[in-house]
Amino acid sequence: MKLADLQAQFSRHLLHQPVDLSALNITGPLPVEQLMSLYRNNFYVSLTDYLKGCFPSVFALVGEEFFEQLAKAFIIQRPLVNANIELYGAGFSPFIDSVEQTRELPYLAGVAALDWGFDRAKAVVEIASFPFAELGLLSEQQQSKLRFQIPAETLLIASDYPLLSIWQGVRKQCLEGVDMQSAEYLILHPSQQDEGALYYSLSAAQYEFLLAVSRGDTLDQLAEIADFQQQLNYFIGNTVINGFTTGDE
Amino acid sequence: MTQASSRVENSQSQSISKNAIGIGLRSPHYQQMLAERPQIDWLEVHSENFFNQSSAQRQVLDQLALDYPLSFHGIGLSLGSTDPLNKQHLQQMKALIDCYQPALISEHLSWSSSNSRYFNDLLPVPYTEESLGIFCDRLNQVQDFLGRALLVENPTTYLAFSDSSMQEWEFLNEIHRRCHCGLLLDLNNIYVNSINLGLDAKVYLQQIDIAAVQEIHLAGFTRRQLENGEILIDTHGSRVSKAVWQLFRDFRHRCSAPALIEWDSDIPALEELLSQAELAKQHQQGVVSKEQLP
Repeated sequence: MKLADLQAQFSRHLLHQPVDLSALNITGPLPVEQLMSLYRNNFYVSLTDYLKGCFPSVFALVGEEFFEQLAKAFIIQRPLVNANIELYGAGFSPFIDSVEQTRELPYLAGVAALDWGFDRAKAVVEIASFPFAELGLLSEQQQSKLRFQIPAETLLIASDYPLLSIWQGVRKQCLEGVDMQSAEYLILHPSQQDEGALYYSLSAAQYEFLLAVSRGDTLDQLAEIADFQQQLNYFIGNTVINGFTTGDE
Repeated sequence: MTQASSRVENSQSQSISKNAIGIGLRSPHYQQMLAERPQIDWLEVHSENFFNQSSAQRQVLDQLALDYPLSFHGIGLSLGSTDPLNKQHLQQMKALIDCYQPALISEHLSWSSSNSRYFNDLLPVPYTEESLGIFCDRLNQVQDFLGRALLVENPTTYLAFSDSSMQEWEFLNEIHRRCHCGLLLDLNNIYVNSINLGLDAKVYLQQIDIAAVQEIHLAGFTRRQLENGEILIDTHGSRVSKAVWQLFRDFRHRCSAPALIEWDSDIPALEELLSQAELAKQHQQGVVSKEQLP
């Protein structure tokens, strides 16, 4: 068998696709199925352990057995496409949102998004301060094209559920008193303080303002929003807005 | 400019002496390493964990690189695969190497990708002429791109392919001959394979090209009882076994190369790791008798 065929068949077996193992001409101390299981188990265990590390609140909410089922389905349906697994978890929340097994936990994908956002935000080492001096040097023409920036690792969520309360409740191992019917706007962003990330609820107006910033509305467009100056000052002060572009770069 | 990048401007590649004993640097020990800077000859890291230039890990490495020679041990190049080389991965690796100028760079005799799917594992290669040609071609491309020779590590394998036409040591010797690379000999892997596949570890160590061996790995394994018998699993999750210490003692008489204690799962306190490194040094100096072996 050519090496490319052998590796393709080996890979198919790891991903639980049907393979004629006898064609691989494998020998060893145990039956070929058991030998191949060692590799398959190692593959799933290593990626599942990685996912458990990235999604501790999801794990705490659903328990080990269900988490491992979810992880296995994710690994099979969304195989790793990069040698470096650092960003593999990015697809876990959308996957949870897409599968039938989690219908009874409609907030689970949101909890996963917060786990992932927290993981990514913590990884940010340096957060740029807002460049006030550069802002003062802009011409009128440049100011008209000005767009504010927020760190790429910032997470903005509008949820039908009290996501932040659930997530914090899971982390504190106390979900009592959470009104599961209340909708919530929230933000999670990198911070030099505390755990490396800050997370808090937003008002609807604050959420809409940040949504406009993140989609790249210009300064002129943002100025139409109620309490524009107050919101801008607040989010620059909180290092949520920490840069700008004029399109000249 | 980071400390690491400024250091590189002032120096060439680091070096590690042939009698040096190092440890694998793992994240649970970062803070203690930074705070205490224990006496250890060198550190080895998994290259992929440090690709992100703005990560907290890179800050740790910047600091530790000032005090310890480094070795970068890769697990993601998939040199034994028939897929095209992952150029992005290679560029990230080159950027890391250019930044720190490590003393050693190593990868595995294995594959981990097929048809652009990755498996986060070191999968076995059949020892055939075809595999050898593919592996050497890819290794030569990597070495040309990096401008540096790599070390290739012997793998743990739980199975063999009846299509193989040569022994593992022959395959490794030939890689060295064709690519002018070095070899990283993992004595635990040789021992685990010898038990699982019924090979003779002593013959392996007699046949391997001693002049090519530039690094030695020492690690622990786990015994797993299965329905049809027992198998040793290369977990790197325990102390070095008595049998592997014995292989190390015997091999050191013939080969001088820096050795490393590797511990990847159930990671113990740093003191335990340093204690294993100290034991390696004693074995190297011949001050541990066979009777004293743990």
